[in-house]
Amino acid sequence: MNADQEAEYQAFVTAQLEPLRRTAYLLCRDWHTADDLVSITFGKLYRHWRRVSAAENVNAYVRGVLTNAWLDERRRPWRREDSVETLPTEPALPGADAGVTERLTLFELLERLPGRRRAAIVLRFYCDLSIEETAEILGISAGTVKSQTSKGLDALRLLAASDRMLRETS
Amino acid sequence: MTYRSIFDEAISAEPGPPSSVDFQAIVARERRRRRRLVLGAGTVASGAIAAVTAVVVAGGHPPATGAAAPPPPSVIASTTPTLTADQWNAREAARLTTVVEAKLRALLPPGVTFLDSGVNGKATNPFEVVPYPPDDLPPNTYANSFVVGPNIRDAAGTGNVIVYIHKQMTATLKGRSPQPQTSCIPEFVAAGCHAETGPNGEILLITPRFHDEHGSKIARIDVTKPDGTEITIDVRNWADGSVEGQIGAPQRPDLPLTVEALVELALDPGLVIQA
Repeated sequence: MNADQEAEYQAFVTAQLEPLRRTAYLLCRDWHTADDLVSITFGKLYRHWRRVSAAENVNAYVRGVLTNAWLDERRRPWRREDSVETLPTEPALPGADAGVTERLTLFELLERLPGRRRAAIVLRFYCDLSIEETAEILGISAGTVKSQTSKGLDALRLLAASDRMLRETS
Repeated sequence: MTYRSIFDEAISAEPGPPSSVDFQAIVARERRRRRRLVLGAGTVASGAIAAVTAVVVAGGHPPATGAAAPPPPSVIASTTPTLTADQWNAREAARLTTVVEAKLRALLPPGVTFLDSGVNGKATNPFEVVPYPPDDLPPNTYANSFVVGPNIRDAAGTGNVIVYIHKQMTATLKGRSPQPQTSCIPEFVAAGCHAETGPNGEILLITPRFHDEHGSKIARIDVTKPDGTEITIDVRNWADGSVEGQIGAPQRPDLPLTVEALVELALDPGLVIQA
C-alpha cells in the first residue's frame, strides 16, 4: 500500500468507525466485542485495500466483512453454547408469540433471533442494504432474506407504531 | 420515524465506552504481518536449502537428533518465495488434515469408522480440514481459522468430534502478545471446567461434562498454545455436531473420545497454525 492509498484507507476507516461500531453492537450487543469486530474488519480492509477500494459498493463490502467476522466469532463453541449444566432441548425461537413481541425491547427482540436472521435485519434495516446485497453477504438467496426479515420487520413496525402513538399522546 | 432511527435511538440509550479501536496499532500490525510473510517465506526457502546442503555434506544421511529434539515439522518446506492467501490456506489445510487424521486414527481402535459430516462443508473426506467459515467470504479474507468435524461410528453408536483451529487475532490487533484465556467462563464451571497447564506452556481449559436429562453429552477443551494458536475440540454423543448450537438426540451412551484423548489431540505439536 502506498502513501496515497494509506491516506485513503485512514480517511475511510475514520469516517466508518462509529457507524461500523454501532452496526457491530447491534449484532453482538457488547461494546468490547464490537470494538474487536471493527478492529478485525479494519485489519482485513487494510490487507485488501486495493481490491476493497475498487469495489462497486464499498459500504456493503465492509459491512459484509464485519458481519462475517461476527458470524465467525459467534460460531466458536463458547458462543454457540448457551449453557451448561443442562442442555436446552428446544431452540430459542423468536417471535413465536406475537403478543410477547410488543413487550420486547428492540434489543431483546434482536437477541432472540438466530444469528443469520439478526444479521439480515441489521443489514437491511440499519445498514440500508438491498435484499440482493444482503443475500450476497450472507450467502443465501434473496427469497431467504425476505423470509428471514419478514418477522423482524413486523416487530419493528409494532415498535415504530407504538413510538408514534407515544409521541402523539404526549 | 425510520427503522434506522429506531435502532440509533436504542443504541444511544445504551452508550458504550469510548472506542478502543486503534488505527495506528492496526496499521502497524498489518505492516509487521506483511514483512513477516515475506521474510518468513524467504527463511523457509533458505532453511530448506540449508537442510539439503547439510544432508549432502553429511554423506547423504540426515543428522542424528537427540531424544529431546523437537518433532520434525509436519509441513514440507516450500521453496515458493511468497504464497497468496489461497495458497497459504490450502497448504495449512492440507497439513492440518494429515495431522488430524493421523492422530484420530492413533487414538481410536482400528474398528472405528470415520464418516463425513456437515461440519466441514464441501470436504471430500471426513478428515479434510477446511478454512472456516467455508461458505461465507472468499478464503483470503479469513485466512486464520480452520475446522474439521468427522462423525465417529463404532459398535456403541455414532458420535461426532469437531476441531477448531484458530490463530488468535484480537490480542495481536491491539499490539499485545497472545492472550490465552486462562480461566473458565462462569457458565462452564458448573459443567466441571477447570484450567491446566500443558507440558510446553499450553493453557488448557477442560470441560468434561455438559449433560442433559435426555442423555445428550458434550465434552470440550479449549487450548491456547504459546504461539497464539487456539484449539477448541468438542466431542458429542450424536452425529453432525451443529455449528448453530442445536443439541442432538443421543446416538450412543457415551462420548466417542475421552477427555484425555481430546487433550492428546490438541497438544499434538503439528496442530498449530504456521506463519
